[in-house]
Amino acid sequence: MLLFIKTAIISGVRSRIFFGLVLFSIFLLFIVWLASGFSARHPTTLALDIGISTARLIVILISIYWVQELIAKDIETKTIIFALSYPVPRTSYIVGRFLGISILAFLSMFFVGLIIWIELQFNSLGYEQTTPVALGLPYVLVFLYQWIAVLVIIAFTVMIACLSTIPMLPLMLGLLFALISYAIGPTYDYIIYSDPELFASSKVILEKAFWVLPDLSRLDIRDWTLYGVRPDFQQVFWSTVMSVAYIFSMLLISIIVFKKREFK
Amino acid sequence: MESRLNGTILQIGMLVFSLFFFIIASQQARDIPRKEYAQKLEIIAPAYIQTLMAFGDRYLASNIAVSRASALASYLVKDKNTYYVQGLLQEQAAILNPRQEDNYYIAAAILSWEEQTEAAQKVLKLATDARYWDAMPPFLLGFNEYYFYDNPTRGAELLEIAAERTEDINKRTFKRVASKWYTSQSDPSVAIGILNAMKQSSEDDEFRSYLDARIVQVEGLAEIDEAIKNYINIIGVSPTDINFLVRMGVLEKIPHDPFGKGFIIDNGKAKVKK
Repeated sequence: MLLFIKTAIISGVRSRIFFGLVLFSIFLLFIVWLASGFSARHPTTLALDIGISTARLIVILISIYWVQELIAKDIETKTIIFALSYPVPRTSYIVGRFLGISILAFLSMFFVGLIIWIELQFNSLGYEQTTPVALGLPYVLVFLYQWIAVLVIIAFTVMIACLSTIPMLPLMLGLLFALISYAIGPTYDYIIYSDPELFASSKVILEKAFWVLPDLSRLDIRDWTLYGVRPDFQQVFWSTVMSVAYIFSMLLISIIVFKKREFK
Repeated sequence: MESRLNGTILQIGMLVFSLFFFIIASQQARDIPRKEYAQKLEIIAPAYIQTLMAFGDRYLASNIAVSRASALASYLVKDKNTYYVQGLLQEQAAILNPRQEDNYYIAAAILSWEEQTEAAQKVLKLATDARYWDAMPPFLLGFNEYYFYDNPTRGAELLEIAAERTEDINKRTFKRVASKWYTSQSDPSVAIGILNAMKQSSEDDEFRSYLDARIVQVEGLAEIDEAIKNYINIIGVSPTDINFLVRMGVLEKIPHDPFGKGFIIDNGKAKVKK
């Protein structure tokens, strides 16, 4: 399995998208700097807020791309046949690839997090905010939870890559899943509060959506670093259990499907 | 063969087990109320579409809405409809992220003064609840009650909330002003003081020049109000036309309105022309 982790990381770093990450990060520096200029009252908070949004988007995009590149492409170009000729179970290919991509995503998140952190050190010199940003432990945990959300998306995309026989499908469905799983929470709230009648009539279907989709917006605890507002413990606990269980489910489906799949 | 089958059965068992955990946890998380976000969602429909546009990121959606609102704010003279749109945008931004600091600030500095006080109050109310440590939102909310809604009692109550969120001198000042408001009518000098304070705590030049213009306008109102008082002292009745004040000599000339709207007298008080 270590072999598959190692090859995933090496090819991940070698792929063109890694160069893209560096370019993206320079772009990120610029965005963060630009964002702070837009705020009259809380330049550092706004810079950090926009920074987190951009970082999240970048890491999601490249992680989905890595799944496409490292699993879907292996299958498409039949390279997988060589990979599976090693005397190791197929399970270790899937788990190894997943772990490899997760480590790559972690390193990317760490990298962009560090860039924003360094930039904020200079940014905050300009103007004394009444509510300062919390750049210590809360900052680290906010980025860690953004990474956990990305892991859920990676696991889902891996599952699609194992099922799919259409080359670009993992990329497409991965992106769609990322969008829907972030929007499901706000949507549910919206219907409850704005249209109680609609909610009453479609309650059963709406609630069932949470049986198949994880609400990733629950993992966004950035109020902690932006305003020093601690997240609700219950929310953090249940959303962590939810994510870990979802990741396991997706990987198990991947393994079961992958073992049965024939590659010609 | 048999061991492979056993392996698959084990994996399916594990899958059922982890799916079970996922569903339980997902249901639990679903029912935890989102404190700040969940309140007052009447107009979230467009806001929610904005969230989708921001790739499911409500913080980003909020920041985009605020930056659009502040872009609108940089024009000095604009039509009523623009302010209405700005009000809607800011309300949406407040629902998406009620803690956004610029949002409540711009709402208090611009919306309140342009007949969008209701929108400003919604933004400030959400900020008061969500930024539970910050004295500014309840203070500005209270000021609007005092000045725009002629409700000094409600204003004073909100000032007391602001006082609870500060210490030492600020706390005493808030308390003192609150006690004054409990017994008073709205007064332009209070407005000038607040606009000056807002100006001092902002570093955006365009915003500061906007506030400068607003201060000149309110000073004009105060000057006319003073003249009306003198006019009544002399004539005994309230003037109906602003030119009467100049003719009577109680007002040197009609003050300049930087917003170009001009002033009128309505029910014995100076007002900005609509």
